[in-house]
Amino acid sequence: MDAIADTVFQGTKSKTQEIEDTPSLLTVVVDTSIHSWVQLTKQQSGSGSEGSSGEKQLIEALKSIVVFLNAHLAFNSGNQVCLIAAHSEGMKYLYPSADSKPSMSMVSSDMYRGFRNVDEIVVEQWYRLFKEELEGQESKVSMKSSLSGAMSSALTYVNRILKENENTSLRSRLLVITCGTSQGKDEIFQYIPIMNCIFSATKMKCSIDVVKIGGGIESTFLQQATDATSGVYLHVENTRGLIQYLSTAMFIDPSLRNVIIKPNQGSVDFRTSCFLTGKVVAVGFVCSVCLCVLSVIPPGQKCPACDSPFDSKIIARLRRKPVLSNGVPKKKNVSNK
Amino acid sequence: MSLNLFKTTVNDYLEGLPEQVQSRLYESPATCLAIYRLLSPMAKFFIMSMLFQDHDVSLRDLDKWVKPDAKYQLQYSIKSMKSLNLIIEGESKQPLLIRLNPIFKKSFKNVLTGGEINNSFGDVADDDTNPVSTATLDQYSAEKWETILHYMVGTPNTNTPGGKVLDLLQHSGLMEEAEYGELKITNQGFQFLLQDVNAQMWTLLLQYLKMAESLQMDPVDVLNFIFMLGALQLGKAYKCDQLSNTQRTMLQDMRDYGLIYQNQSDYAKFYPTRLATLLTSDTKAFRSASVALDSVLNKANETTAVEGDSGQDETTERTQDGALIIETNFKLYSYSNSPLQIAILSLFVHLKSRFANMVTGQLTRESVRNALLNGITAEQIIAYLETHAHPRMRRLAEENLSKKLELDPTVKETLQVLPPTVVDQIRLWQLELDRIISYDGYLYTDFESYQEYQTVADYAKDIGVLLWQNEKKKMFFVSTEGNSQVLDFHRRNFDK
Repeated sequence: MDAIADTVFQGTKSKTQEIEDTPSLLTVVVDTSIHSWVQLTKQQSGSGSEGSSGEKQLIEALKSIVVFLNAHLAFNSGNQVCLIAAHSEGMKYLYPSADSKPSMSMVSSDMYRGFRNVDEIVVEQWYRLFKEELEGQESKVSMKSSLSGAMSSALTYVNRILKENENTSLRSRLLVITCGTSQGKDEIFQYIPIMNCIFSATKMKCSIDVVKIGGGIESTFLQQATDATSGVYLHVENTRGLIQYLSTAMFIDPSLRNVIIKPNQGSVDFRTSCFLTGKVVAVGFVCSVCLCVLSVIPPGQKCPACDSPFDSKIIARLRRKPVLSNGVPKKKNVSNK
Repeated sequence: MSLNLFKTTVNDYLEGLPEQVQSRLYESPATCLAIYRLLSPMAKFFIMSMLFQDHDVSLRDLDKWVKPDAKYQLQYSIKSMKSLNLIIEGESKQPLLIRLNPIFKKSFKNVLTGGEINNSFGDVADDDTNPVSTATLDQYSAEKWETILHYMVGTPNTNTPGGKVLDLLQHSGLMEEAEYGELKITNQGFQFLLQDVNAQMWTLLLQYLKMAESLQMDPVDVLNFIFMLGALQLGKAYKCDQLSNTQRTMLQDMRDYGLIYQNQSDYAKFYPTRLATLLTSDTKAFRSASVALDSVLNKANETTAVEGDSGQDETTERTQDGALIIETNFKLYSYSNSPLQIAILSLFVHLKSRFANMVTGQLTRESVRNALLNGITAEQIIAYLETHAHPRMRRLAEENLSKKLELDPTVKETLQVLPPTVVDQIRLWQLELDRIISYDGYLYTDFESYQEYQTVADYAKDIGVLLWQNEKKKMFFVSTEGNSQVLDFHRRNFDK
């Protein structure tokens, strides 16, 4: 009897040790807003003797990304990619793209067809994107980044592809490449959309990886996103050697997530932002209906998010300077530590 | 899993090649890509991380990447990279420092960046005036390949494949000559039938390689050609004039297997079929030969409509056809009406009735024993059932697993697509057949004292060579490999 138990046991054991080599979908969201790239260069030429212009840094990054896409396609023949640009005027699917027939050939014709099909469209779409930008620049220069919008559409795409490929047990991950020079100012207003992305990503078991190029401070919300979805957050100084970062830290395939130690540095800032001013708050007010966080008492005595009216008495009490009141204020709360 | 079977067989072959041959292989970018894809995921990760690194890498650093409970996989991936000579001693010659094979590194970089590739991915003929549709290609390859399989199963009223194919089947031991010069399927042949289409093709191709060596063909040329076939795009015509002489002769043979197609009128061009493009991919969609080909044929109609976006179509395949459901009471339902599929099932299932789109049957002790006696192993049966499991079964198992994980995240259970009772029972039926295991070894008896017996037996147990012992009679038995060590130990400690 022992022999029977033994062999059956071994049979199951050896199976657990195998990593299944399943195809995966890589969705890359790239922040291509010219504005932030130019600022990045300005900052760097101020601090050091960096001679390159903003476009150069951007092009450097784009080159690395194309090679990175190829690397992902090389990993498994069933692998798929998707590339989305978060541009100054909204997001755009670069690959797969609606008008898929490339008009000109900018990629070496010798290249492996699987790569070439993707690369040609990517390069072509990029070219068009910047051309449009160049023509329409004077009319409207938006300073806002559409990163969160691009992330949500990336996740919808992931969702669709996962549904379509239910039989092949496709897995997915999302890589966000952002260039953070905006002093974290405009990303604050993206707190809610990014939070929503995080929730849907965890539900789909899609991990979010983030590469942040330049910029002094960490982008806290993206960091939270990687933390919640067991992704990797990486902050690099400039685009030099970006491919090395992409091909190591960002190359952890979903099938390897369980066995590779993720190169995460430091602790994550879990603080949230105020819905009105966009400031990151450690202690603030919370609406008791919709749980939105505020750093100041909202004007108009109603919640800016859900429009539920606040009790004027309590507001008045909250407005008072710190006093020793015997009742606990109802609308005061400590959000996180 | 049968999925990895073809990878291991190909890898074993590649690892066995002499170093010079390997280095010559790495000169071709297409081959590099194919070999890269054949590696384990962890090895792929390490290679990618070293690819753009100019310095030597310490093995300790690789070790730091991996969680402690996955050390086994780390060792395995390092071993396979070393035996393929993909990683070699670092430039500084220090221990533990390694680097990528420079030839491989250069070619693989070229693959990714589109550098100097020298047509190793085939030379597309752009001036193709009358292109062959993918539907024709699929039909052609399906016909050729199914002929071979049908011939092996012995389906009545099928054509006989070409003479070279028969030679190959015989050489690889899949079929043997019975009386009257007819070929009969062997035990290996039965096992072959249960594998997925990739594994089958590679079994034949590796055999082809062995035959080619005896025919003075250069293995590097042959391998390069096979790997190139795997990287070609379906539905495109490729020029033959860049091929070497060896490769031109191969063209004809590959045509017999249905890997490539040539127009009767124009031998300067060839078209890779879907079978060829599958060579280096392990798309799970194609779980077996017949399923693959059936879905190919079904899909052929669709692809003709949306030609052009061929980057996608390989992965969006459905596996509905040939999917089977197995219940805990050993009843089996297979949604298939291809004679080949049914013939394969009948190897180990007692089939009961056949309907327009499905067959039902029962796994019985008798039917499984029959298969086992034919040389098919329990593992192969299980793997076959698992890979052909209906998507619904798979989804059910996945749901169950995620429920269990939600309750207790520490559960070490893996996905069980098949009912565990069935899996265990098939294994037990196999165990019934080998109730006696024999070992070669040496018996130690006649010890002078109990203490002497105890010390030596303990030593043998410690080094793991002890197979049996009896305290009362002061005897024990060690395996052949361990004998000299035990003898040495005894000599050291007890000889005066």
